Amino acid sequence: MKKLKKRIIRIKSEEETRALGFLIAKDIEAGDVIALLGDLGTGKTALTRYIAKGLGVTENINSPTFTIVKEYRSGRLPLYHYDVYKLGDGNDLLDIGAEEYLEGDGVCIIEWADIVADVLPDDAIIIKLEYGDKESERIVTIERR
Amino acid sequence: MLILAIETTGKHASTAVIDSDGKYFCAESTNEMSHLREIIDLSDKALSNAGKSKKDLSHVAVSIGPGSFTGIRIGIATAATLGQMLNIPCVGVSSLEAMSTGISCDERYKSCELIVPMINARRHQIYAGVWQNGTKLPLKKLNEDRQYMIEEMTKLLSSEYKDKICLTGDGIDAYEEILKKEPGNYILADENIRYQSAKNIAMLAAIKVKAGEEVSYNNLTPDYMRLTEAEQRLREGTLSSRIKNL
Ligand SMILES: Nc1ncnc2c1ncn2[C@@H]1O[C@H](COP(=O)(O)OP(=O)(O)OP(=O)(O)O)[C@@H](O)[C@H]1O
Ligand SMILES: [Mg+2]
Repeated sequence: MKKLKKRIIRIKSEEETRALGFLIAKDIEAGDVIALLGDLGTGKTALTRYIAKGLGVTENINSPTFTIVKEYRSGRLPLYHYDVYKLGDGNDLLDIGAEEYLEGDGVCIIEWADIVADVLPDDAIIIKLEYGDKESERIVTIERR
Repeated sequence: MLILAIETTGKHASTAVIDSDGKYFCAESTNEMSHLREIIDLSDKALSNAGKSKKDLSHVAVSIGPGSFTGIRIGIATAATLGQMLNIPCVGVSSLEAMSTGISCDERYKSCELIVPMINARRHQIYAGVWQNGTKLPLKKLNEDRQYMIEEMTKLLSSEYKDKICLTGDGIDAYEEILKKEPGNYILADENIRYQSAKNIAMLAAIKVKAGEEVSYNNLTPDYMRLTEAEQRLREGTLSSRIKNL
């Protein structure tokens, strides 16, 4: 088993979230899956928006709560943005045909990934967002294999 | 007896009809992953090749996996619908056992003692099992069929089994480089027999029917061969356990 690489980053402002999103965008490759964890409003959609910007996506990124997944093809890599808050478990994700995207040509970013973790690849990049002490502070934990 | 068999767990969907004389009538899609669109047409095609129609069927058999999750769902839903509509029993068949059975019937692999079908489960994982080659069906299973790491399987094969082994399935294509590096006593199944095929499902289904192993349409269950969420949380390295331990 490869060793896990874990980093904890303290973010002071949304501007820093943006910078982090751009860094992540540079680093990711086709086939990567990012499992986003974190309570309501911690900034999962915000971070996804900045990663998308970093990938060169030109469309607006909105939360796909109702459609579960949205696809963006204007960037360096195809981006599949999921919000699985409404799903019960991994089977529900398979029911909407996610399997082909997960093994596919693009990057999958999944909000509330813990709900569907049982069908996501074991080597997904985990990014967990938590509130800090001040309003715009966040504690970001990134773990990858 | 007239069984329609459906196999949608691999890249190409296929169907086969087997009659009481043991004659096969097959149909296969040339397109990849167009199971949902084509499965009904393919079923009709195999039946018309046999000169029969749906109402002549005594059973409908289906590959219950492992393989493509979406494909498994389509196959089971189609078989269950037919079973219900025609009021006939269903037969669930393992995709891996069917692949082994196909190899065991092929003269080219007679010299192999063992058959190991491996279906690509991505990221160094395969669904696989070890069967003993032979002429008597069903074949004897020597090692649990489950999800393995490809490296785990090659290690198992080289340490536990000294005999000549026939490898089959799309896991060969996915992990060719790894297999080449491993000094195993392997023969790779030819591409014309390497992949899931409804004919093998039909063959095993006929045996199962004789053994009374049929189920009602609402008791067909998929075998994704995936660990449950609870099992995943307990096993090191899975995403669920990584999240738990974060
Ligand atoms: N450092 C920060 N990083 C990200 N967002 C921040 C930060 N500081 C403040 N915010 C604000 O927090 C909010 C985060 O909302 P967002 O919709 O991205 O959260 P979410 O985790 O996706 O929520 P949900 O659980 O509803 O999907 C935004 O209004 C954003 O402007
Ligand atoms: Mg959101």
